[in-house]
Amino acid sequence: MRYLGSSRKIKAKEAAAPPAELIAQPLSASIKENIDTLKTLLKGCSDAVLKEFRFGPGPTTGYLIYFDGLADRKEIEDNLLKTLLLELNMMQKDGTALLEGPEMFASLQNRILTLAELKSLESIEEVCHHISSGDCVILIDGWAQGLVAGTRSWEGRKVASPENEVVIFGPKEGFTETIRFNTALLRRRLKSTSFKIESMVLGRISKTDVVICYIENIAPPGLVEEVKKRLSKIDIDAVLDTGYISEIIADNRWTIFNQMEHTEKPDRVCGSLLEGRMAIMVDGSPMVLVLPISFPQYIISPEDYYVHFIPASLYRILRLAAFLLALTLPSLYVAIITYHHEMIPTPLLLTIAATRQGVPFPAFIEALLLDLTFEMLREAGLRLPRAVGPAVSIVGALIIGDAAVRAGLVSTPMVVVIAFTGIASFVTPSYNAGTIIRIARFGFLFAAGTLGFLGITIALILMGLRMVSLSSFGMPYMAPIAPFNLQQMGDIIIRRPWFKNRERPFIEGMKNQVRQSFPPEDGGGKQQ
Amino acid sequence: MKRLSAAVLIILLLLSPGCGSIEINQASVPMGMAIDYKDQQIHLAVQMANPTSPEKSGGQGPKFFILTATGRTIIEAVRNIMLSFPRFPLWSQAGIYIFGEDFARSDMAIFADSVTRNRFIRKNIPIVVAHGATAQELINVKPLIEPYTSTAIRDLLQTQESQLGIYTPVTMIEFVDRLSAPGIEPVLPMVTIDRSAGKEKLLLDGMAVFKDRKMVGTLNEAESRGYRLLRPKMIEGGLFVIRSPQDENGWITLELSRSQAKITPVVEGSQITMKIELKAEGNFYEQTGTGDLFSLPMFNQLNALASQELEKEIRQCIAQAQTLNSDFLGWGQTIQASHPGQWKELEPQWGQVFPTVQADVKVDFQIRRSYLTDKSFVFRE
Repeated sequence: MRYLGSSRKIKAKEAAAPPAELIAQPLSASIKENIDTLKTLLKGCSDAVLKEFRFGPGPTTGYLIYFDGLADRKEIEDNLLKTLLLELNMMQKDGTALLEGPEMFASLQNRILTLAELKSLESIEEVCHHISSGDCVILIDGWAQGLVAGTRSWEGRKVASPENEVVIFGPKEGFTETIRFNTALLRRRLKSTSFKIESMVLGRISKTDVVICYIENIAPPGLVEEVKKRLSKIDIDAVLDTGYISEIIADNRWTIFNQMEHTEKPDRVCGSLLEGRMAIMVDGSPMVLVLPISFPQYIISPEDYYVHFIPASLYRILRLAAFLLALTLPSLYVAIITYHHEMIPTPLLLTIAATRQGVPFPAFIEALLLDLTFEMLREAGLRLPRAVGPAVSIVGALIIGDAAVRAGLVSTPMVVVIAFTGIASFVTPSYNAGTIIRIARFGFLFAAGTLGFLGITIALILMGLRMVSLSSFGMPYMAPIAPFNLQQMGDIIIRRPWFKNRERPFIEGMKNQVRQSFPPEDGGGKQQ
Repeated sequence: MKRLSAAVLIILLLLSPGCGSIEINQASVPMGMAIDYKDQQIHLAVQMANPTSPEKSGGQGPKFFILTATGRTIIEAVRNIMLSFPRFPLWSQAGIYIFGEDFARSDMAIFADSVTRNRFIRKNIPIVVAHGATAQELINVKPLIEPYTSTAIRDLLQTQESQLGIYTPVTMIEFVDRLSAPGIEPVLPMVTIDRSAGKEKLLLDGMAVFKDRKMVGTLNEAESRGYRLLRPKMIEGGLFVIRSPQDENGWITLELSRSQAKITPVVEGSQITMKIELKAEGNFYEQTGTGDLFSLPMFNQLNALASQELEKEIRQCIAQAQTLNSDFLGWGQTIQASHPGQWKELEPQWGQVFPTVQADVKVDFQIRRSYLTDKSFVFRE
């Protein structure tokens, strides 16, 4: 193991090595030198554009450098080239612009170019970073500085409603792959300067923009520090999705229980931020990490907070029941019909016995096969090209639902149990939680097939022990069930009405817990 | 390496079948047991369900078949069934135990120990005694509507109790408790085969009275009613008929909606008197005669007549209990609860004392409702 680890380290360094000394150079006053360096660096990058132009009346040359496709070409043409080539000469004649001596660069930046984002650069490294982010860099002969214009613009997905988290009530916008859009979606909802979006760059090659969002005064400062610390320790070649980060910065890595929630919904992120949590966004991924979270929150859907609190509470109880059933129903069924026959009412036993006549497999194997088949159908359904989708669902329904029963390979009650369980595992609003359920279910099935109810009890105890031993950024994973907190339980199994929702759920280190202040006579709804 | 081998061992352990594992398709479902006793041998008949799949059409064969075996003990007889039957029976599903009268009149010690020890015998199921036929003949009768004898007898007992109020269902645990507890004896409802209509059907008929582990006699219909009223429990449902106070040939049907007996023993020296106070209420159901019954004096008269009828039933039951000298009324327990000191002296000679116990019966019956009309039916003259 040690051998493997060390060789991996060496390889990582090599990948980042080659043009290190070139990149570290400061910009030179000679444009030729700069362009030569850049040409070496951009060798093989066919999408790089280096456009030479004559600048001002004299023989001064300038260069415009950008990546085609990332920068907005129309903006470059209208606001940079047109100004530099045509309007500059006109201004020159009027004498409005002074293009002599060292002031020229400053007047270019401050008086001539008509772009909102302009910044001067000092080194080749900065030039490379900006052009690969979609900005356009102007280098002018005789100045050891570059000018960068914000021209980022590329074709991206429009803001659409997320397919994985469908809601009926409430906002339907979802995050996209472009981090600027995503931060804008949040900023639009939280119009406050205490809503912070701190940016950092991760990935030696990908140079991915990563932002952490939190609300100052609400998010515990210790938590913010801890997240920054953990992020700053990441040294990886690329970060393509938030999944990379969530695996690396988790408290407990060797477990199926996710300690961070992935979501595509800005309103959900905002809700979490207002509860003192933090969000991590990665450029290029519509999935946003929310942390810290605890397991009981998996039955909460953002929709709960938008519908009336009574139906919302009932939905939560329904989801809790579905969660427990999805976890244990096949194992309970297997345990009962293999070990605990006396628990079945006689008429039901007779029905089950009649349908199981001639089934060649033990109940445990039958359940395992059917459950695996269901999982395969689900997985296939996810990846299917749209054209073959109906074919597979028909074959799945026919083979599993009908032909297998008629052939006597499986019994009807087992099909019913597995189908019901399959549906119930999708009731949980979080896809992550559904995955946890489906993995744990197989463990329960093994336990039930071996030891019956005793096995299920042991499995439940082991799972409970594992869950209470986990934490998410220091927050106990089973909070507020363990450690128990009655005040916060009011927003787990039921949804507390907004007019009673005075405090935020407590996160260790939180200072500002009051969410809503009530008038002295408690509630403004009462008429005099 | 150690971890790997441990993991492999655990997986192997998980894959090995557990001890109590029985697949349902390798098991069978016994629905009821009939126990007869002939020539010092237990004759066992088991009603085995014949599950037919709803998928396959034409599965309209008989719903059950009977397996028989003999043995010196109950469990031996039960196991002897396996000589002819290849599937493991899930004994805990057996929903009724039927005793042949021969068996009931022999010693219950044959049975009681087996019940209390065996986890496969359900304790909340009814027991009945076969009357006028062997238990095996009884369990062979195909009941009306219900596919199995167990559900048929259980439902018979329950519905007749709420609708008619004659016989009291007795569960296994109650029977066994009464066998062992001092100062109370068991009774069981009896079932017979009614062959009158040309076709055999099950019929409830009387109750069997036990004393000292043996069946010693029976209760007829009126005595069974009396026994039901004398139980120190809230009783709901039942029907009884009295003579009309106005019409010589008319009858009046009353429904017993609620009745509660309060039994207090009065011990004066060697003389024991049981003070029985029965508070009952009921509804006016019908009259076969004519005449207006709905006036206050008439009501009082009706109440008195009804109380008389109930008292008669109670007295008949007490008389039968004292004739058979079987304390199935549980008076011994009642005395033990209120006079524990005296009971210690009484207990050894309770057999001699019980027939001499006096009963002071007071019945208070009140009519509550008369349903859709508040007047008697008026005929056109």
